[in-house]
Amino acid sequence: MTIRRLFIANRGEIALRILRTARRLGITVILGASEADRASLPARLADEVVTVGPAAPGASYLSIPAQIEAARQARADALHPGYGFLSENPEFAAAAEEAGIRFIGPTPEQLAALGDKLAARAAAARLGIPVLPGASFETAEEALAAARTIGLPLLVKAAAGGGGRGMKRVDEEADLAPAITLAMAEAQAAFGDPRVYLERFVARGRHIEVQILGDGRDVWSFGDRDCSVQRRYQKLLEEAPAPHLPHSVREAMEECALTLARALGYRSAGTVEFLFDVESGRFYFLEMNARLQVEHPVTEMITGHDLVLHQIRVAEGQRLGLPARIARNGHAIECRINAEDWEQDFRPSPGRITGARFAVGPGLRLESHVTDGTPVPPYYDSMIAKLVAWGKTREAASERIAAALSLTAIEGVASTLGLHRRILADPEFRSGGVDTAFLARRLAAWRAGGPA
Amino acid sequence: MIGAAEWEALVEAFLATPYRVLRLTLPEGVMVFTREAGGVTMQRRLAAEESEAAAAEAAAEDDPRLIRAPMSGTFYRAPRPGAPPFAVPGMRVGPETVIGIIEAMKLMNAIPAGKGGTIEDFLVADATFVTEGTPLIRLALP
Repeated sequence: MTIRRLFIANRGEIALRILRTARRLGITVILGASEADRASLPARLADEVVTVGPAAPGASYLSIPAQIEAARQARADALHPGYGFLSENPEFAAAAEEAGIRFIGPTPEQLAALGDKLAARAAAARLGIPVLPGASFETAEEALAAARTIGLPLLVKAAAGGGGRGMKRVDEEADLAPAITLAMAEAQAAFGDPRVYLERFVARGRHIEVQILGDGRDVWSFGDRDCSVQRRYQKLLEEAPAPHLPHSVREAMEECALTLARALGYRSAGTVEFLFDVESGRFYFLEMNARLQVEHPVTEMITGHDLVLHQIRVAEGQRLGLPARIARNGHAIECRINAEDWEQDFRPSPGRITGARFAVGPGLRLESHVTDGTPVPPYYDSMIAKLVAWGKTREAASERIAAALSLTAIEGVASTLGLHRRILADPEFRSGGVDTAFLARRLAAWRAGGPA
Repeated sequence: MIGAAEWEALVEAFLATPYRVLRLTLPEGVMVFTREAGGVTMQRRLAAEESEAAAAEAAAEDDPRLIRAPMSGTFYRAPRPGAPPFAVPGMRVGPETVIGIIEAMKLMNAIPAGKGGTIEDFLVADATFVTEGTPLIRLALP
């Protein structure tokens, strides 16, 4: 089939990103917007706009009936879910297919298999992919017993999780029960599923992930990304490839990612996440995300491939026929600019962007839906822009994005721009290969007003 | 460049000219490119941008009996539906006592009282959307 009318079931920068590739293919783009987003930049650029529901995401972007009804009304023949919201919801994918609308993503069965992080862990382990010690539990007593077996510190993670939501670190037994309660509340709010499990915490780990893409028959690796610069398990800065990773580890990680994707007969874009233990040099499977990721541009910058384009082709039933090894060139870094006051513990800063000036130019890529006057509604996540830079080397990419950050300004809401400037100027970050605790170590000093 | 916006090629062309400012009117609005020391910046505004009603918020002087929301979001009195609330009227709280959670941008933020006293009343219902500064709790007079 050929996709002619594409419904975008998302908002913000990713809606714009998908719109751009669809437009290039000559596809008519219909945006499903909530009432809060009807005047947004993606809404202005889409060929058609359908209101999916009120501002509150539960009744709009997170509502399967509202989204499917809007897509049906718009006579869409395909639907792109973007990331977050319903993007990894197997019922959503199934409902779309039932309505005769092609879901641009994995099959509902693949989404279900990977959405349950516990089941995915078990599947990976059966394939011989290394996983961290972990356990699920029914009662507080079972949780405590499991925690003693796994050892402290550990992480409480949402079974339906992703994006760091519903994830809490526990250092002492006394903190276990409250952490489980809070994680369950967060998991319920974010995913509508309160189940959590425990997993060993690695003291010095790097978060490295492999981008894969399947057409239902063949699977390709598009290389790795390092997403270790995080706070509260949320990524802030990503780069590709992961710096200073031994060649053998890189190859083994990609091979594990391909093994898992092949076993699933995986369709569309996906990311296999690993934790690399800096001390032992070993890596462990964490989860596989069955969607296009926020940080996919760094992979596109070093491979020259348009992942959204491939997703659309695969959804049309085409074989991709790509070379066995996808060539990679240079280094790319992405900074997520969020409407958050990083000096006040990353407090969300909804409001109105009164002025936004972005650096643009050769080797730079801007992904943003923001104009002067764009509101930042409190209902959705806080990302307002992604600034991406490419360079022949990591140093060149760092120089380029640091220069771009110094020219970029956001007024009206607090943002993480200043934080990114500090990260880029940090000697440890500059030398490469920081672990996931790097940012937390630096924040206290930076908040106290150290030199920028 | 993959995924690059249509206007990015224009930036490269702009760089080859001697001009300092390039103003484009595109479907996405008016875009102003400015050459600066160290690069080019882009600023855009929607063509028909309605001027924002500047709601000058009267800086309400702080009533020491009020515990206010430290951020915007949905205020919950209990950790999950059906669970007992974190705090109830008549309860004594200290600055560190958690009195509720505010869900903002999908994150649950535990809200400490921030001051000490005895809770007289809750001023907002459970699961209410509050903005920064909204009074949540009134403490009893000492």
